[in-house]
Amino acid sequence: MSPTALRALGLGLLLALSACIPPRQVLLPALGQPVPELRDFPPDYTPPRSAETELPMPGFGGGESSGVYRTPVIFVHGNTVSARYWLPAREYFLAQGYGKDELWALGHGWDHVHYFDSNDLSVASIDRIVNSVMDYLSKRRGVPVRQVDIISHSLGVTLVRQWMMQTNSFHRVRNFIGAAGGNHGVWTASAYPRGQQRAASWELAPGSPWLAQLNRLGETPGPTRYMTLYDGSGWGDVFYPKPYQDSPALDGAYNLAFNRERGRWFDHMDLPREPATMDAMLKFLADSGEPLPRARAPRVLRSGDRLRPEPASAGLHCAAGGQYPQRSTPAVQELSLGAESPVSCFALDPQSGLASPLLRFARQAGYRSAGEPTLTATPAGGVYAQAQEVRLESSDPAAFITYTTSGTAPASGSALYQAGHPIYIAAPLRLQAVAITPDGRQSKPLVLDFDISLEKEEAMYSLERQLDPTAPEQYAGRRGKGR
Amino acid sequence: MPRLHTLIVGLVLALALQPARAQAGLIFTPHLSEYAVQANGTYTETTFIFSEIEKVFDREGNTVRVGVPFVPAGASTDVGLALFKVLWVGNVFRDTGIPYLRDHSQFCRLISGFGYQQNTEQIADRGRLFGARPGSNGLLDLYGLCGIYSSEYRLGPVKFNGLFATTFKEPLGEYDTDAMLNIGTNYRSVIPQLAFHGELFGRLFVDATVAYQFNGDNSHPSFGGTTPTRIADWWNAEANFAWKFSEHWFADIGYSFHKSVGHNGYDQVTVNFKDQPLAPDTLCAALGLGSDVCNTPALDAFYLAPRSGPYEDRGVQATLLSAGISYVYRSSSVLQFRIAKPISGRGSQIDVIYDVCGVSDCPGADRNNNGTGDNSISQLSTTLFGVQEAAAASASPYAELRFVYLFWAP
Repeated sequence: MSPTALRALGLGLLLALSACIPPRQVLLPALGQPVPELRDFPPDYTPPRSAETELPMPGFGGGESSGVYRTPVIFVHGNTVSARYWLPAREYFLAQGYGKDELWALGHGWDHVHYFDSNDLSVASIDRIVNSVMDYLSKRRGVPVRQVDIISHSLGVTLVRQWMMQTNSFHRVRNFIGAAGGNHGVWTASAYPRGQQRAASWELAPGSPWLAQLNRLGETPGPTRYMTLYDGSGWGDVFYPKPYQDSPALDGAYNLAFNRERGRWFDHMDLPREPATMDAMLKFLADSGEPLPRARAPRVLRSGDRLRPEPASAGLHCAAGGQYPQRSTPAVQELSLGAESPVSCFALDPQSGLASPLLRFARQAGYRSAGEPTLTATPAGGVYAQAQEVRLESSDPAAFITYTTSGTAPASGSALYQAGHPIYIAAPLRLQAVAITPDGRQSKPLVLDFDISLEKEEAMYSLERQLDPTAPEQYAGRRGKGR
Repeated sequence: MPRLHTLIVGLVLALALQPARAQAGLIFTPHLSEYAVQANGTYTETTFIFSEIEKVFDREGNTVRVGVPFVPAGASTDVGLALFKVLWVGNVFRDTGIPYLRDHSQFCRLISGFGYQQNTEQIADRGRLFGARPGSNGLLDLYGLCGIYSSEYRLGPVKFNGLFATTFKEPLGEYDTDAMLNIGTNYRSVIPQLAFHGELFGRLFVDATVAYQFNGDNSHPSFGGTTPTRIADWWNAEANFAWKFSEHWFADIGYSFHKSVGHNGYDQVTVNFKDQPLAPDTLCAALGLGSDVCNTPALDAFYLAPRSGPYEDRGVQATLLSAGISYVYRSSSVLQFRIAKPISGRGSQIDVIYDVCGVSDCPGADRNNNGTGDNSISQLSTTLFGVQEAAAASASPYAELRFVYLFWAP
């Protein structure tokens, strides 16, 4: 081989190797070195493990109190970054009077550009974060902390919305601020993606079934106050050019198209971390009163086909036809269930500032039981290379069906399945569903595991199989982490 | 004074100015921002550059046609280059206790590739008179750089940042000292660079850089020593203004300036007619001169021998204007087409002394200690063009087609 050919070969190898330098999370442990991480927690706080990485989440939170009772703020970051993204926000909030124990951010994802985070795959992490912060602060304060404020950015916006829907946690979120979230799609997300970003792209492609099921029954459900913060000009935020400039807005929210309305042009990463926008967020948070820490949470009581709140100071916020009731839905003191079923309700007590979980009810009058309800699903769980649309059917046509993809048990307030709108499974998930009859009986939960696997996709189209279609597909059914 | 004209053998300006500018940034989506703080990730870029060099700049800044008057107008040196670049952006110090570094992303980049250069037939034939091979293909030099971004700042409607990088250039390909053209160079360079990126209302993007290039020496010059042996350092500066029409379409215009600091030195000039002796008619026709020497009836043949040096040029300089359009596909791919047109320049030229002898041992021993060989019957001073990227300045436009791909992006 000539010297020139050797140099060419060496150069090619060098370029190839330089494109394949392993991430720090891989390289440093291989060298016996710890991976530096942001860990600014009090010694008595144990951060939960990420559902994605299965490692303790890095981040910050806890510490000195401001001396007043204030609903804690949890910051949720977007794709491929981590809790450190919110460090400037913490500094600013501290300067505005917040205490360290009121400001939390935990890294729920991979924190690496090679491994895209996904909404569905991170829902369980958000659940762990909120539970962990509430539990810790409740013990520390000696009074139950039952609500949090959540400020999220980018993919974190749809992630938190999906968490609230999948875990029926609307009543636990006093204020939700979504900055630059792809609530109606991100133009860079493809409906036909390849590679590790598939799940996030399937979820956030404009017009995707995933977004449809997130938005279809109401974009601002429950007692939560919603604010969105975004560019709106079509120029400032790279992810929302025209005609997607209002994609982050939510119907029923306080939508602040900051750049458009204030003549600024903060970009996607700047937007929620600038003093001007953080002032707007702080004002929004300050507009809601603090919940009474020792008050009892309201409940929705059913008597026959009549609903009422408890205590009497609470109001009942209900919507029929599967739609989500909102905070702005007029409150009533009593509701008679009609033919339009199911009815979704929550109770909100303006005095205590607390709300009940969302519940669903169907009218019992005239209902004849069709026996023990059962559920069937098409397709069944299994290993698939592409996203799946799952149709559910109950043996009792009068029953309504709810489901979760978060790993939590479904109940009446969980996400509602509607005929004609199959459940879109874009990531490896466990789908759990129940059918609930008008008299309140629940079917045995249907539990289906879907492995939407990139390895499956790659095994299907390996070079060997392209040359010889009869070659066996080499996939053992074990999805690699981050894929 | 008789003049000896020789070939103009310029390595294309494209090669001289593209990798050598040590661009640390990379255009990717969706901001057309060479030096903006880029998102972490690994980027790849492939750039194709084409040029047909028909004109070069002389040391006075005039444009002259390649090879004229010895070859017909229209002769050219054709060039095609393929550059491959890998850019990594990240922060290996994040979450550590190291001040500044933990908060500012770093980047590293490798650039190399291959190319070909070929003279048209008349130039090739002309070159063979001097024993030079007419074309070349092979590897480009290897450029490696690392740098760090500054913080980002806002001032009213302006957002801006800076960066600092240092590039190291290492010759990689086989350097042919007998070739008229070489794809790579034969000296090392170190290029510290400061750059600036600014955005106005998110619509106008400005990228500018200034870089100082320390050049090493070339101990084995090519084409008879008409590539410099002592390479002058360079100042490189460029500014690019891009306008965003939409997330898909951008247009940009650029200005590029390149100037040597001081002079290039030539110490090993040997370029000469391959076949000697030369008949008087041949010599005079070849050299395009009407010297009395050619009419000396006592001599029927001549031998020429150049004095090796040292010589110095007046430095080189080149100024370019460029215009291009970019199409951005999603957040992963950019396709860019650009035309660059030299608007002024100054190429390297040196006045080389040739001894003219009537015998082959030219100029022979200097037994009289008068600084001239005893066999030399005359001396000619002739102006030679310096060749290759350290010396030549193309006056012809070039076209650039660039494709950028960001791994792992949707």
